[in-house]
Amino acid sequence: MNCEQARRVMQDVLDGTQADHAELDAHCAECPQCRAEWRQLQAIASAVRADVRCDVPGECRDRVIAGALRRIESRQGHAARGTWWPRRVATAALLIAIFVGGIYAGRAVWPREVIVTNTVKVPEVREKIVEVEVPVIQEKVVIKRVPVYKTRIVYRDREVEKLVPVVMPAEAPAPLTPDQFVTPPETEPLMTTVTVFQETRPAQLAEEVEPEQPEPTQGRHDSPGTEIAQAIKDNTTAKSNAPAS
Amino acid sequence: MFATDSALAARAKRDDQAAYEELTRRHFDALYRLAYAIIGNHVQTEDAVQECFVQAYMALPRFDESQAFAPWIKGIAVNCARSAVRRQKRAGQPMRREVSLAPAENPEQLVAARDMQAAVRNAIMRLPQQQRTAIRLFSLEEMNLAETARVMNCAVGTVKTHLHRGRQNLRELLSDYMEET
Repeated sequence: MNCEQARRVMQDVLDGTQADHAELDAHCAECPQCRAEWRQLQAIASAVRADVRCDVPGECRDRVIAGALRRIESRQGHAARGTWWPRRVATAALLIAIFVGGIYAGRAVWPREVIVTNTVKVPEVREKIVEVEVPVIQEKVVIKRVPVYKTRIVYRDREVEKLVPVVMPAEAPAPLTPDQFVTPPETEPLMTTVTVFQETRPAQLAEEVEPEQPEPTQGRHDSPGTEIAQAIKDNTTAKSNAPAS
Repeated sequence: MFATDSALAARAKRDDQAAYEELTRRHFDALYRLAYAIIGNHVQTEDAVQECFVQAYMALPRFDESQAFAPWIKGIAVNCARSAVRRQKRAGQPMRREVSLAPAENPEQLVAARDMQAAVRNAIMRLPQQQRTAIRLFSLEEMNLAETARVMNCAVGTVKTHLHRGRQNLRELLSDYMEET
């Protein structure tokens, strides 16, 4: 073994990777330089071991661990408090959802805009359709003038459409009562279209609605069917005057 | 029934503080000696160990339970101890290592040992940080090369290099004292 090999063995023995140092001892017995170095390295290792050696004070164990656990609990509390914003955001989102849902539900229950459409069918009149534009206001329901067979009122909201059929008796066509219409909230009266389908027996109906004394229909509320009768008469006359094809 | 470190760590991950307390009690002595080896006084060591336990708990979600718990928490303890030394240096207060001497047969031996230990301690403080840490950790009874490498988070060969260079540096730094003795 030479000095170079001896130094390598010294490190291996100190590192604990080689236990056998008989050859090193033999070399050191002959080489004073390596002997001195080996003695110094052993002394240093021993001194470092003594320097780092300590007896753990028993009384500090509980104190240190308790202090650590207290700090952990405190940090967890801070961390929990630090995550306030997701809960607040969730609460805000819930409140917004309730608010918006309330608006929609309110619109469904209390329609803000109501359109009333009346479709009036007059039986036994054929091939004649009279369209009258009337304001949907309780006092001026023009539908009184014509024989009412069936009335349908449609309430239509922006989001919700509800059908409320109102069937009137055919034999006693009563005018609509004010409570069967909904007054629109706007000050301007909503205009609607009353479509009158006349299907059969124009002559008979014409007799019933005073064919002898045609009067201007505008403004008359006590002679139902006058407009229709006049229109039917016009239509019949036009047909009879038409050249035969 | 004895629970393994991994089982306790898994429970501690689920905020089971009793499990974590059991872990701290199991490893307290080893961690204390480890931190003391680097710091050298008991007051600072207590603070470093406590900080280690807090940091380890916060880092538990990242702990891989398939790995050993002891090297993992020892690595944290080494970092905490190094931070304590750095803080002391930054504050301009040199770390005062306490003397713990082996029993001596007579006062002369005690004085000689005290002198030797003081000289070695001063020499170690002048070593580069990695050499200093490697030498101190490896000098602990329960540490070997592999364990030191795991705690220092480096290869065994790197630890050997640090140890070899550290020893040579200590020899040079202590050459005057060595010649006298």
